[in-house]
Amino acid sequence: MGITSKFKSESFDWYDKTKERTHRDIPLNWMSNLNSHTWVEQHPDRCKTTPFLEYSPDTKLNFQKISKVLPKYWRWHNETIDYYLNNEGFRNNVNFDEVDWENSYVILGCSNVVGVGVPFEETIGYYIEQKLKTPVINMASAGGSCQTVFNNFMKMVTDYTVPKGCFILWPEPVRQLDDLHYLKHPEFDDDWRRTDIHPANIKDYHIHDAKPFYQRNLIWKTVRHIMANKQLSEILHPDIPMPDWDPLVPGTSIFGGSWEDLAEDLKEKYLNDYIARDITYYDSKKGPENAHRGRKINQTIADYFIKGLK
Amino acid sequence: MILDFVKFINTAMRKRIDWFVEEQDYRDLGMTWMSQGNRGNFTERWLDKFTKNGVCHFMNDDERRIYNQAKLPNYWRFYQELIEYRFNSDGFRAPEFDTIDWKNSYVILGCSHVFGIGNPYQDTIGEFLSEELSAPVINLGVYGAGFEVIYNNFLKQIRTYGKAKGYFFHWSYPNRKINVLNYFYDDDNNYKDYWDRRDEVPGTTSAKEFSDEYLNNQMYKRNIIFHSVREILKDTYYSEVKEPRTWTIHEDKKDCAITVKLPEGIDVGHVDGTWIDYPDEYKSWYINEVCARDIVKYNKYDGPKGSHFGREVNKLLAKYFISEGVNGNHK
Repeated sequence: MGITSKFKSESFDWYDKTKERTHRDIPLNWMSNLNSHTWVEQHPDRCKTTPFLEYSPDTKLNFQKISKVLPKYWRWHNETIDYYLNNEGFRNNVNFDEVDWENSYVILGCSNVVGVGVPFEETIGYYIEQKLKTPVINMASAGGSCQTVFNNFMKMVTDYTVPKGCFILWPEPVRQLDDLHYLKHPEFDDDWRRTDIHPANIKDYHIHDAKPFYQRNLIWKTVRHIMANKQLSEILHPDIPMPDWDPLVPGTSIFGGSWEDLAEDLKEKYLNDYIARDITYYDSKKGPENAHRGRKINQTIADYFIKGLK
Repeated sequence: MILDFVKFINTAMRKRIDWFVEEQDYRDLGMTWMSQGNRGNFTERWLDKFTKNGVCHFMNDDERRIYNQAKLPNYWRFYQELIEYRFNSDGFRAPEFDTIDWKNSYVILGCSHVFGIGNPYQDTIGEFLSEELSAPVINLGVYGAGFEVIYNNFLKQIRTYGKAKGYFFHWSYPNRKINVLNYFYDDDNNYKDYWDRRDEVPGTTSAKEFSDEYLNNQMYKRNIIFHSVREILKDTYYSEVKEPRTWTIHEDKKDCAITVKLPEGIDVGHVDGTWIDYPDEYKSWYINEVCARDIVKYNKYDGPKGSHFGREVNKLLAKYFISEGVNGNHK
C-alpha cells in the first residue's frame, strides 16, 4: 500500500473519445515481477540482488515464521537465495537489450518458472540452459496468467524478434488479468497496471462460463502460429510432470501418504529437494503446505520441456 | 408447441463441456468459425431454419420488420430491388471455403458493415475491393461481430487454409465484446463444433456492463490483437480501418477518414431538421446510395436514421482500404 501510494500516476479516461482515438494502437509493456503495483523504474528491487521476493510467498516475514518450526535439516537454515531482477523486473542476469534473441531460448510462465523459493541455479530455465548449452531467458512473472504470458511473448516478438525457441508453462485458466488500468506518467513509459490474483483467491466470476478457456485456446493458437518455424515446448498447466518418488518407499506418493510415517531421511529429502523454501505452514504430523516446487521437480520439468521441444 | 418441442430437442441434443470436471479432456481444442449462423446453435441448424438452400432475403426478423414498416419516398430503390443473402455452409456470405484458391484471394474481415447487411452482394465493400484488385475478396464479415470475433476468424482462416494474398480489417466498434458461454459438439458428428458466444453490443447490453473495468479490459485486448495481427502479417499485404465511424458527408468533420462527395449543386449535407429543405434528387441519392436498406427511422424533417452503409460509402471505403495498405503493393 505504502509503495503504491507514493508513485505518481494518472489513470486513462477511455470515455474521452479523442483520447481513445489517439491511444487506439499503443505499444505493449512488460508485465513483470516488479510492475504489478508500481512503476518498474522506481521499484527499489530493480537491478538489485535481494534475499527474498516481495509479492510472492517467499518473503522475509514468512521465512522468519516458518523457519522456527521446521526441522534442523531444512537446508534454508543455512543456505540463502539471491533474487536478481533485471531492469524490466525479470529474473535474469542480463537486460533484454543485451540478449542475442535469435540464439537464445525463452522460458515463460508464472512463479514456478520465476523460481520462487529456489536459487537461480535451481530454476527450470537454468537447468534447460545447462543441458542445451544455450542461453535461456527467464520471462516469467509471478502470479501471471495465460494473458500475462501472452502479453510478454507479444512484447518480446514485437520489440525484438521471435527467439530460437520458447518453453512455456501455461498457468491455470482461472487466472486472469484483473483490474486493468492504463496509467500514464510524466517521465516513464505508459503502463497497463494489473492485479495478479493467486488461484486460491480467485473470485467465482472468473470461471462462470467458457470465456477463460476460449481465450486460453486463442492465445495458444496465436503463439503456435507465430512460433511455427521455431522451436516450442509447452506444458499445459496443471499437467506438470513429477519425478518418481524414491523407490525405497514403494507406493508412497509425494502428496499422498502420511507425513508422520515417513522416515526422517525422506522427510529431509522432500523438504529440501521437492519443495521450495516458501513453505507457509508446517505441522509435524501433516507436514509442509503450500510451497512452490523444489529443485528435483524443476529438473524433471526441464527434462520434460527439452523432450517436448518441436 | 411443436416448434418449441423441436427447439428443446435441438438444444438438449448438444453436448456441452463441464469445464470443472472434463477440462483436461478438452484442454487443447481446435478453433471454430464464428459466423452469423452459430451464435446459439450449430450453423447447420441455423441455415436450415433461416434460409432456403443457404439463401434468404432478410438476415433476421428485425430486418424484415424494419423493411415492412418502412415509409420511404417512392423513389427508394428497395421497393423494387430484392437483396439476396447467400451463405456458405459455415455461415458466411462467401463461397464454400474448400473451393477457394486462398493464395490468390484477399480476405476482408469485420462486422455487419463488411457482411453487407442491407446491401446486395455486389454493393458490399469486399466486392468493390474485388473490382479494384481484379481478384476474389472473401467476405468474412459477421453480423454483430466485435474485434475478438474478427480476430478469431482471421486466425481460424490462416491456420486452416494458410495465408491469403492480403487482408482487409474493418475493425468493429471498440466497446463490443463477446461472451463465450461454452463449447458445443455433436456426438454423432453431424454438426461442426462451435464455441458458443453472445455478441454484446451497446444498446442491447445492460449499461452496467460498460464499467471502467470493462473498458480497460476491452482496450487492452483490442490493442494486443492489433499487435498480434501485425506480427502474423508482417510479410503480407494488409490494410485496416480502426473502427467504423470513419465517414461523413460534412467536410468540416476532421476526424473522419472519408468524406462522401455530395451531389452536384449541393454544398452542404443535411443535418437533423433540415432534410425537408433538400430537393428530391439529394434525398434519392442519400437514401439509395449512402444508406443501406435497413433504415430504422424516417421522417420528413430529419431524414433517414439507423441504417448500415450504402454502396457509395462502401465504394469509398474500398478505395480508402487500398490507399492505406501496408507491406507491399496489392498488385
